[in-house]
Amino acid sequence: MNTNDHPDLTAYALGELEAEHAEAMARWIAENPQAQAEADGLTELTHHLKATAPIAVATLHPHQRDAVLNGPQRVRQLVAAAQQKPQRKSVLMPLLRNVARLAAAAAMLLIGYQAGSHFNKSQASTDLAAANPEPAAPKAPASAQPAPMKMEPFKAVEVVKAPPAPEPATIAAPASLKPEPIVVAVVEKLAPAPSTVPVVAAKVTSLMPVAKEPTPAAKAPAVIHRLVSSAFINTARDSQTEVILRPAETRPAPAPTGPVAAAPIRSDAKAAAQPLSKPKQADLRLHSWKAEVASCPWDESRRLVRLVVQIPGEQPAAAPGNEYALRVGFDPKYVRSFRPLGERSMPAVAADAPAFHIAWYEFVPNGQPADTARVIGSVKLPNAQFTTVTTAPFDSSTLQVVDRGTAWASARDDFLFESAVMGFGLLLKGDKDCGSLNHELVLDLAQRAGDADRDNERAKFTRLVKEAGRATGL
Amino acid sequence: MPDPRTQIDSTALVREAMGLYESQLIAYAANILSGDTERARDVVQDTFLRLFQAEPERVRENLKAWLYTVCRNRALDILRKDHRLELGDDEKILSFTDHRPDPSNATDTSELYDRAWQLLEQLSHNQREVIRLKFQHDCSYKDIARITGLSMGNVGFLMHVGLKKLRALLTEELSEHSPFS
Repeated sequence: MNTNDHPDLTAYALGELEAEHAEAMARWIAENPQAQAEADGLTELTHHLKATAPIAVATLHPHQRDAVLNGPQRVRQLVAAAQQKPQRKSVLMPLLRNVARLAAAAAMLLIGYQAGSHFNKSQASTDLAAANPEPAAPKAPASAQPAPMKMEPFKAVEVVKAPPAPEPATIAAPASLKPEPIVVAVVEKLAPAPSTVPVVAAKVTSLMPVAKEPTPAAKAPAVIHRLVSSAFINTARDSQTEVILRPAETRPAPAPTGPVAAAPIRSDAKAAAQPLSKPKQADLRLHSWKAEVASCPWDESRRLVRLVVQIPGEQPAAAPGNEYALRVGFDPKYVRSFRPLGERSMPAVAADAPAFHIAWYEFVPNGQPADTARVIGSVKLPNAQFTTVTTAPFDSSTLQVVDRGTAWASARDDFLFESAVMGFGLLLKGDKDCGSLNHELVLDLAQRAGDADRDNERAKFTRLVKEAGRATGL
Repeated sequence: MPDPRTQIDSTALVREAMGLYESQLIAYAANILSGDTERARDVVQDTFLRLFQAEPERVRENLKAWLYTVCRNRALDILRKDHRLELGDDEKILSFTDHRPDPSNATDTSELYDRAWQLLEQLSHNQREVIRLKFQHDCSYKDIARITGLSMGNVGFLMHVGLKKLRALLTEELSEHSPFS
């Protein structure tokens, strides 16, 4: 063994050798002064390296720490959000559903009418007259004046009355339409007719096919998308914009409490729920927020901002009607013009789970983006307070939007995927100011983001874009 | 639907990991990212978020090595995306390194040792990394091998060569500062 130049000697000085090997090395070093000197030198150096090692003091920012500590809820929320996502929406489906409902209603009417006619023709003059004591008008002629000629004027009325009292709850929905509320027309007689003219009214009743099904109100609220793309706003004219947070929209859905009666929602129910005089709204509780900036994939001269706000789903501020303005301001020094692209609200899936609000902006920078980080804007949320105790002093009411000059190709996977979604939205909307944006770019962005997400949302989106491309002949 | 028990375990594990390694990981990632602490924070945040998705039972035993491995991979991903990853280019590293000794530096040997961490920048990327993991992050050879994906033999060799080079640099500085030189 070369005494001075062997990794085992270093490993020995660092205490990395196995016991047996270390003992052998110790014996060998004891007999070899040159190795001893080498080992001593190494020990001295390592001692100093350990003693003077830089002390790590940096910690995560409070909003980052909070995002981490709420990780499980976030994951659950994402999974649930994927489950909430409806399967591919077809434009024809709502139309077909309505047609099916109308057909079902018409069929029921026809069946009812034919059954009534048949019943009337075969038995009206005999059995029904005796079995049905009311109403007085048909009964009296039937019993007191059995002459067939005198029954003629009442036949039309008996068509309505002849079938046994309808029992709407027992009307079964066709199997194919089971998940949808079935609309049927139930024919019933109103007040006793003052004349011989038949009085028939069709009352439309919505019957839930199975009472165990929760009403739509009991289902988890859906992810809300708002495509708000508009023209660019010059920051010299107006450098402020707002995102309105409505915590009530992202509250977790109440758990179903059992069978729910089928009753139409009153149109004035929402208004009735509103208090007459609006009390002072509670401060919005905020878990964390974050702003990311990267270049715009469809126009390299522009940049994109992704703003994420995480709030507790259930909180005092989540009362109907409460609104909180997230004020987004751009520094005219660095931003020439900007426009909001879209918003996405992801409701909480449980009382202790967070809700997310995501807003996207596109802006035209003043000059070339710098290599160094610079603050291009800020986000303010008055009347808000963080849910976590901060570990360091910081202004919790303002979030700085920092542009680090990141290119979109280097952006995080989430950023890439959501920019693909935003881009797709712009395409669907037919936005004319979207540079080189096309289906291929949207697909490219989505595919760059990968499809390793747990809920498979990205793969689904990619499929959707491909299908849309095929449908439009691309 | 995730198992609630696993969720509780994950939460506890992440809290434990944050308490033990948060600052250390940021320092480690910042070293890889050329001192960009903000990006290092993002990397560490991602690391902890990924810990939530891992199976606690599998990770717990080698928590430290797991965290450093994920953190390292994420930081290297960022470097790759920035096209800034240049491993083992010693000449380039040396060309960007200021070889002039700090004038305020005393000639005392023990004080020169204090410069050891600055001189570390003159070593190759791999050597720097194993030395940092060993002395700044208190990782064993086994941990370092897991984190870097190198064999234990390679780790030992890099450590040996790195320390040897560091001692040579220190000796060189000592001789330059000696009043008799």
